[in-house]
Amino acid sequence: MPMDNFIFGRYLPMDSIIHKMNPAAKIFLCFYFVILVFFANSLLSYSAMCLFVIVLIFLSKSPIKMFFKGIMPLIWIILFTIAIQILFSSGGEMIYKIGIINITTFGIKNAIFLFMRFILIISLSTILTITTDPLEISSGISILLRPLKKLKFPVETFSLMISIALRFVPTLTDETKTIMDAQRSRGVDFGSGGLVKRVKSFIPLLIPLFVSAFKHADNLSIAMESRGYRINNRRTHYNNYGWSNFDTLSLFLAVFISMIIFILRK
Amino acid sequence: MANNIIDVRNISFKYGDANKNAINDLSFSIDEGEWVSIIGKNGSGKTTLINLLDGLIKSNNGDIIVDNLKIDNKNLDNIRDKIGIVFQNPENQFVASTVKEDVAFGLENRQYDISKMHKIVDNALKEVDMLKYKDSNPSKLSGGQQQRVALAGVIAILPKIIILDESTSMLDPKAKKIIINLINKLRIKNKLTVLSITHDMNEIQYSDRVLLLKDGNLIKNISPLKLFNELDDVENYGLEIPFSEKLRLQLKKNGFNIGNNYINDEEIVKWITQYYSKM
Amino acid sequence: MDNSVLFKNVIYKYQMNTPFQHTALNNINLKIKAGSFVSIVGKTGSGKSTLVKHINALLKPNSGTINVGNFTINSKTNNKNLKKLRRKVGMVFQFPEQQLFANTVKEDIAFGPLNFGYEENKIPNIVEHVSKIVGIDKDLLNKSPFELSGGQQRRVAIADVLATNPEILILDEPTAGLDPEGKKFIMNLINDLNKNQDITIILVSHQMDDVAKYSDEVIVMQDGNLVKQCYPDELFANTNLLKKYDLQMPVSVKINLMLNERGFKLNDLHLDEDDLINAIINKLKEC
Repeated sequence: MPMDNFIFGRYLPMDSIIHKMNPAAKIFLCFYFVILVFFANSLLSYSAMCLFVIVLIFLSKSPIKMFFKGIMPLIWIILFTIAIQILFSSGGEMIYKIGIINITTFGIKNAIFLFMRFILIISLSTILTITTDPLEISSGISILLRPLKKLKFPVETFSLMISIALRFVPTLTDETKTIMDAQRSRGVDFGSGGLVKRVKSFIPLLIPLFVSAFKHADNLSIAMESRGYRINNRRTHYNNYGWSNFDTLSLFLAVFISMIIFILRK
Repeated sequence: MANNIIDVRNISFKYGDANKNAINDLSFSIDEGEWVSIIGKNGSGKTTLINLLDGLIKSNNGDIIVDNLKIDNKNLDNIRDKIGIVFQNPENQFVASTVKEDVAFGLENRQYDISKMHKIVDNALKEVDMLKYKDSNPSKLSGGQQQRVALAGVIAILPKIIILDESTSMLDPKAKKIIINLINKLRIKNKLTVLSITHDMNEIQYSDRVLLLKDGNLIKNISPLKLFNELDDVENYGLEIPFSEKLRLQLKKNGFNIGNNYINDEEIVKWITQYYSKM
Repeated sequence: MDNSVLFKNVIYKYQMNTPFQHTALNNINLKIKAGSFVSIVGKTGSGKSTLVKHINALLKPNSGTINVGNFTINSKTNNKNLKKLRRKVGMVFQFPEQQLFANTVKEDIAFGPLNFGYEENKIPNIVEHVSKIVGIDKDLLNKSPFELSGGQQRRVAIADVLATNPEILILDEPTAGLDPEGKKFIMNLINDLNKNQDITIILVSHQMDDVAKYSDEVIVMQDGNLVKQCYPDELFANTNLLKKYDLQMPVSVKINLMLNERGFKLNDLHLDEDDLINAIINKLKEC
């Protein structure tokens, strides 16, 4: 159940100060800090950022294991970029050179920063997904998109679309698993053989999946209409995410941390 | 006299490129508070009829009047306030990732304000005994629980008519029973009219009347007790002959005087044991 | 060759090494004899589907072994060499019409045999043969499977699996969602495959009437444990057991019991409905 884990398995319902934050504020701050990571350019500014993220992890009461799980799927990409940085960058003091391979102090320093950047970004997004359930994320996004309403962007429809898509993830994941099992039983080897054969082997999976997705969509639209849904009609919302003092405080905190990073920048 | 709540007058409907009417000059009416079952094989027009009644599709001919309102574009929202549908496949009627938000969907569409909405959702979930699953993900519930949640979503808008579109056909016998008992309870409490598409005699036996559809035509309008007696081809309507009925027919064939009406398991056991003790 | 299925100390855990880990199969030992009709019953989530998925190695045990004929499946079984096993063990999933994908019914049925390396010139015969078995008209063979009715799609999906000529056939709720006529057809078909073609049937079902009527043996699963393997009458005659395992009573058993409680005692337990009707009528006639 990889897809299931990717989106749902991450949320850990717990009682932390981060869990209780307004989802819109949380998403906004998550993006804000990810951008802030890119402004760090010195050992000190990176260290400050790391310290801050460690405090966040601590506040969110999330098990460290979950962060390793977030990093593991990307580990090869991370190692690859780091290897390129170490082996091929120029500048700084030369340590080792053979052929096109060029190991310099500058390269090593960059590689360390790059590594920290990866870890920081993954940790920040993991904090968001661990402490916010998918539904809150979709509500949060729709709150953040609200200004776009003025530009006639269908924010309401868009956010309902996201939440329905999220709601169907477990359903379609289950169906994918069953169809894969059924076709395996009929002798399909998913992902073996040459490229053409491999791609071809997914046709017996994808066609039934599309057929089923269309069927779901068709039936769901009938059910929604019968329950009084009309596209572009105004709707009220069951969930109202409150704005607490902590949310306000966290915005001030963001400004304060930005100042620190900019001071520590080179 | 009871009020006429659904009045269907000579409606016909044809799907785009079909060469035959899916619904063919159909007329019937249903009184307020009645429980009517609609039976017929797949393709007999049952689901088309439901879609017509809720204004999800428009008939080519004829009129449908629901609670004194004729179905047309102007009245659509009003009519949908009066009708709640529980569909066959729970998977295809949920929009939200939590039970409470799904039950609230119809209320959100009708622009209820938050404080009222929360109260109504809690009450509706209490009615179907699902309040403790309020925060659960509907797709993690059992089929029977899912249909109870769907039912809560329907009764939250206080409809006058509930349509069950094969709502119990995918459930196990135990879950079926729970749903049927719930409907029975709510029907009396909320003075509901129930229209149910079904193959299940355990459900049909509670209804006041049965409408038999075949190829878009209304073949019979009959009491459920007479079903097996007056029709020797019930299997052509997608209906299974229940054990008690098989037994009754065999007893009759063997010269026992057991009457012509449908009787259920409990009743036939009673009949047999009484007959036996009189010997 | 003996194609019996043998589970030895099979343990399977879902989502190993995560906070969500749970034991789906807990030390399962069982034997299913070749040529028998065995039903697996139990509540949703009791491990029935997980159990049968081990028989054609869709899942592999964390520990223990499964023998199917001369195949052995354990935690180290390689995914590469499973074709022979899967050809031997056919699997019909719940709502199997979900697996249909080809342009025509014919191509869909041919898909399995081609995967398993049947000679291409034999395919038309196979298609014709299995479509006849499941009652699909010849003129439907060139249609798209998506144009067919639900009941016909189900038959095609079963033909898909029969086309590879399995010696063991596993079916997970094969009649779910069908009308009574369709249900009867499928159950008769399965029974016929077992009795006349000697195919081992492993049926996962909630329909206790079918289980009681057709099976040689019943396996009861509860919370990942195999709690009982016995003859159907041994299970269904014992209402305490049914209650304990939370199983529905077959109608025939229910009527029998109700009659019994009211002093109308039949000599034998009749699981077959027609037998029960005859027994009741004979007893009433006697007096």
